[in-house]
Amino acid sequence: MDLYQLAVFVLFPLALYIFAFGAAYRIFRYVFLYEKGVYVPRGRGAGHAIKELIMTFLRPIIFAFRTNPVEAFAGLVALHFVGLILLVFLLAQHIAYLEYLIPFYGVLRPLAIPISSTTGAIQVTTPTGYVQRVESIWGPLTIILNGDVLTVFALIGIVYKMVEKLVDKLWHKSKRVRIGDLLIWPLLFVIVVTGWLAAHHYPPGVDSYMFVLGLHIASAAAFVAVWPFTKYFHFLWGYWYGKLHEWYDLALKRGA
Amino acid sequence: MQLQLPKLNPVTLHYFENCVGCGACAPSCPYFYVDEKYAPVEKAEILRQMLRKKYTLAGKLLGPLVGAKMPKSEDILWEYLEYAYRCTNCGHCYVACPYGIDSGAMVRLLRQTLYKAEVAPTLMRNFAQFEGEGLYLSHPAIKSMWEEFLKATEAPVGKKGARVLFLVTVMDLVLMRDAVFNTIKILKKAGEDFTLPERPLGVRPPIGAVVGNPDAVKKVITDIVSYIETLSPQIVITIDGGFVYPNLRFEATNVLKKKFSFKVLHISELLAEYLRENKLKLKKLDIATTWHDPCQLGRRGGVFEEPRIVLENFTNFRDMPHNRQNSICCGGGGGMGCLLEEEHMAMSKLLGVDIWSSLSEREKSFIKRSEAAYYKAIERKMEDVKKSGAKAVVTACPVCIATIARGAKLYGVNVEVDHLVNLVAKALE
Repeated sequence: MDLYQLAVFVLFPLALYIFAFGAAYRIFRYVFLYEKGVYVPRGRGAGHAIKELIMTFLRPIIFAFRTNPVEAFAGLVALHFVGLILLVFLLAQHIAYLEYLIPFYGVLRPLAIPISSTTGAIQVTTPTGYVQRVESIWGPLTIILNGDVLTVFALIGIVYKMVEKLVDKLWHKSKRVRIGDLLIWPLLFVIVVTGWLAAHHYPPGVDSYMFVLGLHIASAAAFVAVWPFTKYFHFLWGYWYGKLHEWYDLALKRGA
Repeated sequence: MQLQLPKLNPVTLHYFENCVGCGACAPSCPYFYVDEKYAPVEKAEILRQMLRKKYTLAGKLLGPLVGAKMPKSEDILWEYLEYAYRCTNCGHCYVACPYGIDSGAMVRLLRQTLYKAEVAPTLMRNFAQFEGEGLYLSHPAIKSMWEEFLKATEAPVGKKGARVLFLVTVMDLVLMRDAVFNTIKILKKAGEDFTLPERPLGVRPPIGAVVGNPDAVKKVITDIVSYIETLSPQIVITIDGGFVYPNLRFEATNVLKKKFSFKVLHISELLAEYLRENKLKLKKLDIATTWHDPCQLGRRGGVFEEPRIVLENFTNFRDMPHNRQNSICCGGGGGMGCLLEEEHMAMSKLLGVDIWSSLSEREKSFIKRSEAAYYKAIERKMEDVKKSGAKAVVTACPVCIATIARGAKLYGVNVEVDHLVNLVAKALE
């Protein structure tokens, strides 16, 4: 069994089981610890509630752009929006694999993002004599919405974070940077780089391709397994629970 | 050393474990601008380190490697106290956080932990107990001040079934005496069916919420609510836009686990109601005003528009560049305005005891450093005041009034600072 087969048929499914256990444990504690409070909400009406629901999510983003634009670009736009979210969930190869795991995921196929805006490096092995622009629902946006460009954005974000965490820890003696930060960012870096290499069949050769793709899936499996036990779980739980709680606490209860 | 750490509920669990350390909260904190180590995320991390040690498997097994540790000496607790008292609980970090983490709540829990380990500023600790045990009711200086107030006021006292009970506290009289008398004047002018209480309702309730003594909070809230219920008003008003308001309006029902028969309003809400119903007519004052949103009344209390409605009615009102949920904290809340040598002297004079001399040299140094930080923290607010072009900053929290006035003097900003009711009283027709 080579690394690719190990990753796809053993490691990733195992990671999913560990993930499911971890996620259930994390979320169950919120249910188990719940105690009802006694409050008299202010009640400013549905209009206020809807406006504040939007602002609760938007306000920190606006504040971040005003007060720390470098972090807002690298950490939010490059890393999250453009890099990871689009790359992980809409890259064509990822849609294919996620559809295999969750058939319903196939509804996103029309939105698939190609690895390249043209037929790309595969031309080397199967020359057609001309470069064809990829046909995609994204049309001319494919110049940006392609795996190559999104990878660059994701790597800008990840490298920024890696450097930032090191500087915070070593120079600013920041309390909040812990060993998890110093491990998880390099892991994310490995996932993105091996994914890009695999998509471009680099190093050339079938064995190399299988190895690099196997490394990509194995490192992604490592991420999925540790996901509920790290701060990255914010993507599934902490971010949504936190903002909805804030909306309830400040906007609905207090009318702020 | 054994520390009593707080129990977690879903909300505090979220605050504890869902911080990603992005630091987006930092630019919102007045004390971040004093020293970057006082960013909300760094202050909250102190409590997180202790909670990890107590509540997480990784923390118990791997300790400092995963950021889990307990303080090993009283010296370290005093270091932590310095972080805990660089927070005004303004809530700006809460709304700036992409994950809705209230770092102020984490600092409040840190203060509780330190308080239980008997590490807390002496003045505030003593006042919390003084209030919680009801000792203020029998203190000769306070009794005398109260009796003199009732004689001077010519207002109904202890009337059962009045529509409005004007909740007056010891600190209302000490810090905002004019505003108390002007409120009574306004209530009479509006033809309100109101009453004063027969006794002060707290020192500045609940001081225990600021210093981290939940027992004192429960005792004073129980006492105040029981008294109010004997008078059974429909509405209880306070002129204090500081922590008194959200604690009475929102937290008190959860402290006592019951709803009350009365509503709690801030005076600005009642004034807006009077203007809406034409119960008050105000003459125009030619003065450029701005409203400073006290963090407890605004962000944590939900009262933004009512004071503006009042000020727009009779003054040349304009907002500061940062207002409402984005308002910049003056830096005086959360007990910071008490951690001044001059406040220790003032309270010593009020109570007839020499508080300052009784402090240890360590605590005196702590107070001096806190004072320096306080004066630095005000600067950012004063920049916003300058940009508004206002000649008068109007607000409703006694600590905000004192802090912005100090800031105006220190940073050379030519503004008057006053309570909303004082300006309204000047404009009564």
